[in-house]
Amino acid sequence: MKCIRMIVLLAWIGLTRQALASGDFGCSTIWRLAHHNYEGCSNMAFLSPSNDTRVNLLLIMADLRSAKPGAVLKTSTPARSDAPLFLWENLADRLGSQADKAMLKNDSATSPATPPSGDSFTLAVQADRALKPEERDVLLAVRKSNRAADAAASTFAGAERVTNTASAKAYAAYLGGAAEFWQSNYAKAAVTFASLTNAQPAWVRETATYMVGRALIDRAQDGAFDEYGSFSKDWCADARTVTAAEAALDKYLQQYPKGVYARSARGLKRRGYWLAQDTGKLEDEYGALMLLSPEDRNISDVELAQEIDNKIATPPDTPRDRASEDALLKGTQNPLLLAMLDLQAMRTPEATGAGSNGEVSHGNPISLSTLQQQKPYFASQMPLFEYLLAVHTFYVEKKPAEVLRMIPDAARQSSFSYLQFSRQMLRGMALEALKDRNALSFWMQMLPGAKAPYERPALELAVAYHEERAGELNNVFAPNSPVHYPYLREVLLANIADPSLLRIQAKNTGAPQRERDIALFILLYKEATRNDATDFLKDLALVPSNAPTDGSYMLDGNIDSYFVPGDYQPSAIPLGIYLHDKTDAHFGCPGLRASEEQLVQNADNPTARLCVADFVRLNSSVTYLGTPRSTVDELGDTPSLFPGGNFVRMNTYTAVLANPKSSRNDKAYALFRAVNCYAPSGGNDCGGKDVPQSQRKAWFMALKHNYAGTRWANALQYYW
Amino acid sequence: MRFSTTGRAYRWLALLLWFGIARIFYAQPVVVDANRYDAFWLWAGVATQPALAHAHTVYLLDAEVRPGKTALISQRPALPHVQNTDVWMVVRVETLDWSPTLYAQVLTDLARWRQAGNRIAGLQIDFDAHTQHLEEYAAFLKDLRRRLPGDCKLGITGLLDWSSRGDPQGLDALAGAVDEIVLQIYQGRHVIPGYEQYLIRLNRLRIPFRIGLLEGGGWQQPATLASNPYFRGFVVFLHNHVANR
Repeated sequence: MKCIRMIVLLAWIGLTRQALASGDFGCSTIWRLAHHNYEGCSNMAFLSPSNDTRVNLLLIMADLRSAKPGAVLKTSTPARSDAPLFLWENLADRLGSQADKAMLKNDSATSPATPPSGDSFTLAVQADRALKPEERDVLLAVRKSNRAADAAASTFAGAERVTNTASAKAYAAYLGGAAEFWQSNYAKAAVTFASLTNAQPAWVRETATYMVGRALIDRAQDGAFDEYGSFSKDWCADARTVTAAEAALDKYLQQYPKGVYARSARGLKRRGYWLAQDTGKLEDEYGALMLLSPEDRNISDVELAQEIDNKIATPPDTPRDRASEDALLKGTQNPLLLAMLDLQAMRTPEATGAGSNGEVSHGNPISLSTLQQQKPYFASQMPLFEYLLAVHTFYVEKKPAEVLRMIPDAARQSSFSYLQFSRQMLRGMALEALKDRNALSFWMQMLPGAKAPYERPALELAVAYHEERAGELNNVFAPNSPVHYPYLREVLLANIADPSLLRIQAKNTGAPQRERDIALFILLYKEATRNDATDFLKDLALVPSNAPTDGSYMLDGNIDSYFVPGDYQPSAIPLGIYLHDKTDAHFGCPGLRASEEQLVQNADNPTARLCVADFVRLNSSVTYLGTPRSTVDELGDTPSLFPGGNFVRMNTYTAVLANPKSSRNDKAYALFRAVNCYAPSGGNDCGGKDVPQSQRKAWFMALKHNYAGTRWANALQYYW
Repeated sequence: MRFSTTGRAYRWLALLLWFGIARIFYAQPVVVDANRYDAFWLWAGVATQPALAHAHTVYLLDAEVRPGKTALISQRPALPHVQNTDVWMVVRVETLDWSPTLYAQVLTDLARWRQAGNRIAGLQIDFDAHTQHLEEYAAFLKDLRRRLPGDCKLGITGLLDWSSRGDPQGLDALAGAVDEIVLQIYQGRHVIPGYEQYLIRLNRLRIPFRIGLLEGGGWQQPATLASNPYFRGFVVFLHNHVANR
């Protein structure tokens, strides 16, 4: 018996949400256009190596859908505005009218397609005039008991005794086969159904012909699952059974090309290819299915993208190298699947070290010659092939000037298919890479035509990123700015903006209230901590007296809106902390406003400086605002235009200790706080350069010896 | 926990940063060898492994609850038939906003698993409740427990920082709602740096708990753990082994 090994197959099982789609479990969004490596939450609306393979497939399928004359791409209205970068789930929701079905489907256990629901047996028996009334009653009664529970075969023997006509005997025999089928006796059921393929009633004939193949497919999966309901490790499908199933399903499809089970039979055949590991046939079938409408193939675009990813793309937890990827590519001839695999094969590690998915790329991308050899397969998809070559030129060979020659300027379009959009985005990125002075106007020209889901937000990111690097932040906040997506604006305000822009936005009645609040919150924090007490006191007048002190402010570049409830409202910006801040009762600060007033008189006032540090320490929304950002060349990580540099509490403590005018109590408190920076774990919670434990010990000893008797010397028992 | 994509690991990092403990020093621990433990999680897409042969308890992922989806999303290819082992049916939960259908489906799955001969110990909910919202979570769990058969326990997975960051009221509320908590010392495929610091604070927890370890991950048992009256042992999260090629 030929045994099809299931070892590899095992790994194909796509029960996790992502097969090759993912490489790791978490992800972080990187806010720029060009990504080189897979990140599950950095997908964009153009075909790219870094996109989830399912995203690329779905974008390709969306184009197939909208390319049909008169066809409109089905999209759902998003609950909140689309982000420039998104998750697979977001896109599936927006483009997949049947997304729910795909999520519900346990596609490894059930057939890819299931037969129509509703009891057609009952309808057929009721309509069949060849049956005597008493036969009809018996058949329907048995059917009912059969469906209610696992009825014994003897019930059907009884049914056969009271049936006389050939038709009734055929229905009764069918019920026997169905009972065998539901009892998982697939071999016997297949024999029973096979005996009915020439039966008198048309319904029995057609259904039995179909059920032969279905029973054999199930038989081929016999033993596939272990006691845990997982796929058995060393199980293999019986090749002869798979072949027989395929023949039976072909027979059905020949006799009933438009039969009620035709789509299901096609799905079962696909399962057979998978069981037989016949990748060639499986890919041909996927290629053919992608061209059909979801209605004609009985599976939505989202489901199909998911299934293709599960079954074709590289399994998770499998080491990837050039050889294994080339082997996969070599067996593939369908241009759409090739495009998916080629893009994946162009992933490389991020140069900036960003991202957490180092393991999904191996730094050995597909070669240009391998790509070029695929040309014959792309005869029907030349624009796609040309695009893939340009992607290789940009991402792998890093020759942006050549990309401009390969992709002519077509920025002005009334609308963009995703492939057209992909091509122009790549051209735009090449212009940016070459620092071409027309890059910005290129993005602007694309804007009016960017109408499909996620196209416009991608351009907003392109514009914002360009303006930040060009030092033209004010343009982003001008009334006619195309940059609308809130995070794009907020990150620039929080990280980059100078005092003047922050003040303008804080007062800008044309801006959203939240943006105004954020601008003011950042402005006051930076003025208070960066030695600008005079302006702080002036701008403090902008805080409404009833501003909330509760809530939190945190710049959130995460795009997991899919997992956030629809009615989620971000916390109000706690501007009230600048009027009513928490203070340390024992040290006795007078409140931030009073401390800043003291700093206007003397910027080095030790007590006032310690109080500002306490303001940062005790008011959690500002405690970590001075944490240095990682720089991965993304939006909002160029040097800040706000003078003064990040506030670091430790700097205050060392300055107070070094200041001869500091009081004994101030110095003791500074030592107490400096040691506590490392409580309780030895990690530095105050920012700035870490000091060795010996230094912490020295502070501790100094406090205990030189400031003995102070509250702070008495309060400190350990150092860390 | 492990298989959900998106920002969960990211959020964790943010959280760690937020609490300023990202750089906590941690010692080189021993590597978790599944063969030395007797309780395991078997997640979706993870192949059955030899270590399961001597398992006393298996936490088997059944399905997921996703935001906006009214029905349970099955994560197991076929109905399990586990012999001689206590089975916890695990449901991975992304939202606490459950439709009536969801409750019905979970109960149906429990009944089906029982009918198939599995020795069902209980239902485990895997949900990353935010540290500050433990009371809301406890309310959800109390309601869920009311719907379960009397002989079916209710367990949850927990985040390590609950013990130190969770508000005391929330922790007390949880204590009244569930039979056990399995606290994970890892996130994604990585052991959380500084987990020892959290474990020291476990004395705040008044609920029977297990420690969830990652197969092949690091683990160094704190001296105080064995004497904690609520400590009930370990659960090892199994994952597929990658062949070295």
